[in-house]
Amino acid sequence: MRLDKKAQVGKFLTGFLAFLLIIALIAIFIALSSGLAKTKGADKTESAGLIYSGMQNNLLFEQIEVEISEKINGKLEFRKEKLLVADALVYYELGKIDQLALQNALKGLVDEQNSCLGIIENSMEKNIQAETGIANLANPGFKIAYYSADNKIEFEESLIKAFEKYAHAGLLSKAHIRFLNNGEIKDLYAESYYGHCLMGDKNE
Amino acid sequence: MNNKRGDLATVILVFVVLVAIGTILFGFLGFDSSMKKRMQEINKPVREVVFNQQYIIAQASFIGGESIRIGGDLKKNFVELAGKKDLGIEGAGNFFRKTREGDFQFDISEREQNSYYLEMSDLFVISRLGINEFERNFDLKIEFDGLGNVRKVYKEKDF
Repeated sequence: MRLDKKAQVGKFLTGFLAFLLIIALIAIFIALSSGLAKTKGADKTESAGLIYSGMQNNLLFEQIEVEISEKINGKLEFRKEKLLVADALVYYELGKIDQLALQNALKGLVDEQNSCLGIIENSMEKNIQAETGIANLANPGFKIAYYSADNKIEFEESLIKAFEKYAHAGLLSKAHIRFLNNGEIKDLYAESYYGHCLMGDKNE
Repeated sequence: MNNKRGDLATVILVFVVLVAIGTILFGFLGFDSSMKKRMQEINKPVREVVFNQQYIIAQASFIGGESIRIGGDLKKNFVELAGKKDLGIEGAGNFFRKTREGDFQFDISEREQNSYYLEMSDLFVISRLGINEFERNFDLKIEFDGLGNVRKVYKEKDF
C-alpha cells in the first residue's frame, strides 16, 4: 500500500514536470514566432521612404558629362552628352565611352562633401564581389577610385582594396543592369561607393 | 511487480517528453533556417526592383530638369530627350514606352509660381528570379523649380 502511494506521488511529480516543460516550450515557441512575424512585414510608408533615401549618394544616379563615340552611317561620330552614371556604364560596356573619358568624368564628382568615390563594374557578377574584389581586379571591366585631399583629387587604384571595408560596413550600392544590344541580352553588375571616406582612408 | 511497471511508465513518459522537446526544437530551428535561406534568395530580385524604381526616378528627374532648362514646350522636350536616353534597359519597365506615347503630364503649376509638376501613373518595374517575376507598380510625381532643379519627389501616399 505504501509503495503504491510512493509510485503515485512519483508519477504525479514526473507528469507535473513534463507538463511544466511543455508549457515552457509552447511559451518559447509563441514568443519566437511572434518575434519573427514582426520582422516579416514592413509598412508601405517605410518601404517608400527607403526607396528615396536609398537614391542619395548612389553614384549610379549622379550626372556626368562625357564624350560618346557612335558609328552613324559607317562614320564614327563624337558627341558630348550629359547623362546618368548608370547609362554611362552601359555605353562603356558597349565600347562607346573611352575608359579615360569615364575616369575623368567621375573625377569631377569628387568634392569635399563626397571625398571618396569608388566603383567596380563588370559584365559578370562573380568578378565584382567587393569582398573578393582584390583577387578579381585583373579581370576586364571598369574600376576606379578617387579621393580628395588637400584640395587635390587623386586617383588611387589601391583604394579599391578598401572596398572590402566599405562592403562589410554595408555602404556599397549594388546594381544589376540588363540591357538589349542589337537583340542580344547583356548584363552589367556594379558595386559603388560615393560619400565621405571612412576613417583610416587616405584623407582621414 | 507493480512497482517495476510504475518505473517503466515513468521512464517512457520522460522519454516521450524528451522526444517531443527534440521534435519541436528541431522543427522550429529547421523552419527558421529555411526561412533565412528563402529570404536571402528573394533579397536579390527585391533589391533589383528597388534599384529599377530608383533608376526611373533619377532618369525622370534628369530629363525633366533638362526639359525645363531648354524651355518652350516641356512635354515635347521631355519626349525628345527621353528618346535619346532609352538604352534598352530592361529594368526601366514601361517608362520609355509611356514617354514615347505621351502618357504623362508635365506642366507649370497654376497655383504656385515657378513650380513644375511631372506626373506619370501606372509605371511598373520587373525583376526575375528563375521562372518567377517580381513586379512593382507605382505612380510618379516630381516637383521642379524654375531652374529645373528637383524640389520634391512625392511619395505615393502624398499624391
